[in-house]
Amino acid sequence: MLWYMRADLRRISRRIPRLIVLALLYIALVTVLVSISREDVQIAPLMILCEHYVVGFLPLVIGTIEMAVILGDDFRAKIMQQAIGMGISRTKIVLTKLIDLACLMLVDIVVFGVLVFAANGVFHLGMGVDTVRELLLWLVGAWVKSVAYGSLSLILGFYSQNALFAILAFIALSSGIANKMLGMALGVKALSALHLGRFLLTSEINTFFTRALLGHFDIASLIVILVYIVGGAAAASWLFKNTELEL
Amino acid sequence: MSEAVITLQDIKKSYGKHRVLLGVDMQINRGDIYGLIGKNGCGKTTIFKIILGLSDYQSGRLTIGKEGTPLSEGRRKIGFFIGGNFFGYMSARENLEYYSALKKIKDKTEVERVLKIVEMDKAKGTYGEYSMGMKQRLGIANAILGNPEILILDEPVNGLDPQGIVDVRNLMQRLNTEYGMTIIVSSHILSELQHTAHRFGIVNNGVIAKVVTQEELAATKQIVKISVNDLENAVKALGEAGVTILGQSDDTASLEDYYFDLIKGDA
Repeated sequence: MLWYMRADLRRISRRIPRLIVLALLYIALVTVLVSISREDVQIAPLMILCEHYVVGFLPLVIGTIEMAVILGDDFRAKIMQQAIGMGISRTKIVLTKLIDLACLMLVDIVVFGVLVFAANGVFHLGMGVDTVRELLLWLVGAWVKSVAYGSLSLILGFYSQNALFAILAFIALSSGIANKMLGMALGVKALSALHLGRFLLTSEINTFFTRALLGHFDIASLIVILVYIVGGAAAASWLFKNTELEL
Repeated sequence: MSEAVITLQDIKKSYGKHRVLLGVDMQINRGDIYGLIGKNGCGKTTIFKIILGLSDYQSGRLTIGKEGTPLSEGRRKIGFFIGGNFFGYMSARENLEYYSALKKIKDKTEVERVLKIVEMDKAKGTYGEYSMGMKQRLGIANAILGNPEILILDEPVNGLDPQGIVDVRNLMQRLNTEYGMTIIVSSHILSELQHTAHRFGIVNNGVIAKVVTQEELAATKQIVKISVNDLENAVKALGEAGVTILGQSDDTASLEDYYFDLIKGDA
């Protein structure tokens, strides 16, 4: 599995169009951050702006690109069929793709964080120690969201053997559309008394990191988040095992 | 006795209600070039998919290597070509480097070695820009990467021009004789397969209807070459002697004739 992952990461990291798009996105996001923080820093704390306008978009904009490069080329060229024929199990393939996403997003978010801190130094955005701590936490939050949404999206991708479905699912989750729709569905009279809305993935991640900002460690939320991640990968693996592979 | 490297026993496979394999028994021996033939949709590719673990089967038994060897371990000894599974934006070398990493090949010269064997070491451009022949050859290069014991080639000459077909044939024979690879190959071009394989498994109605060797095939018709100074009178004399002339100008029995005789009525 390690070899497969290394080969995959090496291939993806050399994908020139991906690097260009990521570079452009970084420039755009840092520009937005700098302009917002310079104009509105008196109106709202920098971190709220940062969380809402910049870090909140990381899973959606960068995560979607990474999902596309991880799954798109692979499904199109049916590379997984070769990997299975070489003796790599389907479970390992699903896990590899999820770990690929986790690694790439980690690198992307670290690069973004470095750029933000560099921008802070150059443009004097006024980040204090607390602000930096908050920013780091929200960056970790963005990473957890990306991995969790990715895990759930793999279910559709591996079931259909089509990257497009996984990417659409990822967009629905990371844009908040899926969360809003599920929230509405769980808000109907028959279900509202059960308060299931708080168990939605996005709600749990937000709860966990909001409490972490206040210095609390919410173990219950963490467990629910892990259940989503592990459950998503397990479901994708089970469905993939029971799917007839196209040649 | 020949050592079996792949054995299928009573393998059954259905796609929903459509029963494709009704109990396939097949044994591939070390050193074989085994030709798998049959009409479209008869289950040749399904047999390959089952051997490679790309498809499940409902019942039966599959053994790769020695009895008791885990299938995942056995499959590592197989190199295969079942289509162009390559990244379109990468060159031949980059694609093979990717697969080389997947196969845990540490030898950096291996990619160059197989590219030379299939004469693709000087190929320029990316996979998406290659001709059909180059794509087929790269597929074979990938299959032989890491020097596998067994090679599975599904329709390797599909879409190739006559020269490409001859090249692939010569390559298969070289891989078998020089590198000792056991080869299972399927093709629609029976006349081509006849020149390459030692044994032929004929898939019909969901089973291996018959296995025939080159020698058995050759013995199905007695062919004697005679030179005469007067063909017309020679034919006449044979006719008067009660001899029926079945055909002319064939110097060996044709696999194509044998196949169509066998499946007569099922087509």
